[in-house]
Amino acid sequence: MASYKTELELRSGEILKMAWEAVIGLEVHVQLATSSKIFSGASNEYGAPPNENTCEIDLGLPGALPVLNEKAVEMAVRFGCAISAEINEISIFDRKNYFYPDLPKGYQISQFENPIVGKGSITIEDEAGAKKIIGITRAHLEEDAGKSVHDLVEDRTALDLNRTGTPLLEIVSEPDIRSAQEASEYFKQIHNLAKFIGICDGNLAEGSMRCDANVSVRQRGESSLGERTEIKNINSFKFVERAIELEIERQIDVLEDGGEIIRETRLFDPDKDETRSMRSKELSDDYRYFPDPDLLPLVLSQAEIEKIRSELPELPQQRERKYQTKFGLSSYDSKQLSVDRNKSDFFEKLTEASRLPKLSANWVNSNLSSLLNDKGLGFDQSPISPSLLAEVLIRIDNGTISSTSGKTLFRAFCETPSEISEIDDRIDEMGLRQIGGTDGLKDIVLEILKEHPNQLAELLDGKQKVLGFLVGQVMKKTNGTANPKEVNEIIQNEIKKE
Amino acid sequence: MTQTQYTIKALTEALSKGEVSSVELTREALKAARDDSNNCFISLSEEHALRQAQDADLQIKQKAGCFLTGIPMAHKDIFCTKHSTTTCGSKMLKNFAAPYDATVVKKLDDAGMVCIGKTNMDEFAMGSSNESSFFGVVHHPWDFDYVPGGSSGGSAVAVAKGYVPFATGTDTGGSIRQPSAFCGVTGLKPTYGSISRFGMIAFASSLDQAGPIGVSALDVAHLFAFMSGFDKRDSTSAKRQDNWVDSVKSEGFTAQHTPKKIGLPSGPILNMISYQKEFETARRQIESAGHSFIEVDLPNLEHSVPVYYVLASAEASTNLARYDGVRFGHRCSEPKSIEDLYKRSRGEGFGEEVKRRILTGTYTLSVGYFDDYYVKAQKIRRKIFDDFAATFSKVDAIMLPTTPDTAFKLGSLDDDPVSMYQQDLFTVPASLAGIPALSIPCGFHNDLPVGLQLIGPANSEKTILEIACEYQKNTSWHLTRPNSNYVLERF
Amino acid sequence: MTNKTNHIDIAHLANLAKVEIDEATELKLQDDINSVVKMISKMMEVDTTDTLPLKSPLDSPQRLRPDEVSENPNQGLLQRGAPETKGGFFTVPRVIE
Repeated sequence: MASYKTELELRSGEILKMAWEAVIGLEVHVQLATSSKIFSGASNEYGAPPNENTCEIDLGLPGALPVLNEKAVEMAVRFGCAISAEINEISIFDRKNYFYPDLPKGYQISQFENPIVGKGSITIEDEAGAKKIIGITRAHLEEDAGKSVHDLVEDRTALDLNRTGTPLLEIVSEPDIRSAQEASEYFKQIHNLAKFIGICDGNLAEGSMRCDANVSVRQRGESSLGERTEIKNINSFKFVERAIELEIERQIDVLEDGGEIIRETRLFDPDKDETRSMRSKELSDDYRYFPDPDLLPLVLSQAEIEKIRSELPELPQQRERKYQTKFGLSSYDSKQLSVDRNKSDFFEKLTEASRLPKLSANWVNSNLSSLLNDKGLGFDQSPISPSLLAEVLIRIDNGTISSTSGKTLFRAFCETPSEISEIDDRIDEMGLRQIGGTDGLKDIVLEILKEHPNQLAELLDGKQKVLGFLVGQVMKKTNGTANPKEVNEIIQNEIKKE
Repeated sequence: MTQTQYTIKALTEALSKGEVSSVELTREALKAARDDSNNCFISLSEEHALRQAQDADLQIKQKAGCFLTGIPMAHKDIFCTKHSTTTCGSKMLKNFAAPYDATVVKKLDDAGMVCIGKTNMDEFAMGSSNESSFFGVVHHPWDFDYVPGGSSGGSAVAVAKGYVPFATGTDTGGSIRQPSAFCGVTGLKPTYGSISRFGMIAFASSLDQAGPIGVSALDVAHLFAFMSGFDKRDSTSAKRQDNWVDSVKSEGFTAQHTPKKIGLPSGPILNMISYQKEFETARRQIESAGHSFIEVDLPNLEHSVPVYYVLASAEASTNLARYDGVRFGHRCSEPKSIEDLYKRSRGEGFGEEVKRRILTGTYTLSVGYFDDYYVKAQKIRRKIFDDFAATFSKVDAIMLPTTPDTAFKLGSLDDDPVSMYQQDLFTVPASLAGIPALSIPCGFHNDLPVGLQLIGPANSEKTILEIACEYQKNTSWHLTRPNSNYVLERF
Repeated sequence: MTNKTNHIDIAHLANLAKVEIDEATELKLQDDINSVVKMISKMMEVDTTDTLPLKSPLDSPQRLRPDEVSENPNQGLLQRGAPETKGGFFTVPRVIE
């Protein structure tokens, strides 16, 4: 009885939760992959010893002045174009004033009222697999702060300001997200897109992308928003999902107990699996934003914007669609091939040279992927060029070599690449040329049948199982150069004769 | 002998003829500075200066120098220098040794000038009397009981006393021109953006501009040419469209006489000054040199002071946020928490005037007040800017008094910040518009020097310097010096 | 405007600006800033209906720099004035997270 009651309680709880709807907006901070910082010529490389990538500008020394990095601007515009956003021809840099030890100037240079990128959108797949558009309110350029290390020196917070001045693009979504899973999916989409268009290395472990989640809940059907909380600084897809899940549950619990949600900043603690209030970080809510007098308005011409737009690569979602419609690939394969820019580019070059989209897709997703994976290489570092691999695939397709020989040849070419004009010589040298009917394959088949009279008899009795064995024997004898399809045909013909 | 009344022009000629060496001049300047009782200097750099002087003598011998090579000078202690402390007149930076040289410092080093030390100033350049310096008040060169003006007070006095023929200054709302007028020297606030702000400690970024304080307008023209120039390290540094500056650097400056049309504001504004007689005499002298005067209307001039204080305080309040006791500068002893560290370090490190401006700026930028104060001030700033633009379609330059009165007594405006701020009435308009303004001595009132201001449109330094050079050919106020009260005629 | 000027909370401003001030200074600053604010409030008389704010006297767009590593930081020199460092880090009293 007791367990039944618990179950009932549980079910009614779930029903109650069904009555609530979560409203979520994400602010994703993307570290831009520039060589130097956003406002100084110090190196933007990750992992230097503490404070070795800082100059007087990053340290906010007296008299130091910021000068904006054009690459950061270009990358912001590139992102804006990729999400079909309005690019603002005039944008303004503001100072956001607050004191924190890892913020050297006592203000962060950011964009407040006039960001560089205006409204745009991104498409994600919701839990049911349906396409859903998430609006993007804006994206603006700003400088990253340094890092505070709290457990290094006794009683002290140690400051490493290397990260100070790393260019950030803060992408602010509309509150269009309705579940933790959608939020994670959206974060993933931004991650993939930013990597794809080359504005971020996407290394979450190094903090290259972080997000803040604004979460509120309301009764289903309600149109106004509930009070929200902000979960700061989440740096993995898994954590985004879990943190929001926990926060939604917490808020529902508070509201159902007749409590009130307090607008506050919270921290996700993956070890304790909870979100908690960040009381200690006494941040003021009066940031006294005002236009930075050291930086004049950022003005972009339509021509500059159009140039960046025209140089934008075809984007993952467009490629995915193209692979399905034009090449007839499965939706799974299409997605697999379009997430990574280098992989996708490799596949497209391979297909263009081979005219064999399906075979190309299989090879890129399996043989090439596992080889590169073993060697720890990216698709842009492949030891075999798309044009050479295309020649291999063409020869598999036209029967010059068998699929098995193709793999052997591929591995050989990865070690020692071949001139395209010498491919056929290499095939012959390695004895990989497939033996067809005209090449005495029939004689070999007959020989095998003669050597295995028992199996032949079984086959004649209709036991198709042994067919595989006999084909295998032929393959063995020919070192894999026989065309299994032809071998099969020859055997079938012989049986009919009997 | 002191080198007091020598212009750079005279000294350069003496150096090139071999009548004197840079090392000799530098030793004299250093001695005078050491013996100074007006408190002009915050620090002296004897070794550094003598090394520079030796290099300069070599250059002069090889005829590789320029107009400024070998001339001793001093930097306002707001310019970062690697070789000494840079205090900005504040306890906060008492021991601050900048790891880099300001662009202006580099440029003058490259020109072969010899820096003997850093001059006293109002703390963070906030003041009109040089009384807010952590390193003590600076005394007026003519009367010890009077203020020299500020914030570049140390620089103006060092030139007026003849320790050096030139010192750098910075001007946010009059900090070059007002002390120049009070001390009887020539000071130029150039067009905003013409001299790099890199390495110059910021007070109010949209107003701050470095400039020269010298003996004559002719010297100042050369100094401006060598100090100015595009700097890629300053986002607000502007490229000049003409080649005037380059020609001054290579061939020197010769003032051409072309009759100019000069505007004089109509209305009650000129009745506000105490030295109307001296001002009118100067006007007539300029007129008799062939220039004409017409009345012009600058309707928003009277709003300049409030607009200036809103903008300057707001910008200062955030520019000074970096002095937090974390990476450099003063830190309080044994801070108990980060909050304690901030509050006590800043509380101890900043003086009263700086605190007053930081709090005023914090107030005007805070939620609910921003539009009423800051944005409103920016709008009136545009009106003032437009007033000038309209006026300069009719005249080549505008003449204004530099200050309402002569220097005042030390301590007399201590308890009255608003009256102190009103001292800037005639200087802040050009700062707000970002246009060049030159203060030149135009006589004495109650035995203290007074100055007049020539203001031109953006990048018209040549025009106003030409008018001033001509005036200084016909007058000798700029060569009149304390101590002996005589006009030097040796050179 | 005048009602606003009567309620300047110096302690709050000092907290925002992180400046410690003693009671005597607070009282003096209260008077000073009241009179300064009164002075600047005279701006309100000016009609600025159709006037755009002027942010800088330079009416030109922002100049950008190429993405090049141009600084070769000398950590020793940059930290020579630091009040407290350890192992290349700047240190402050622990900020509890």
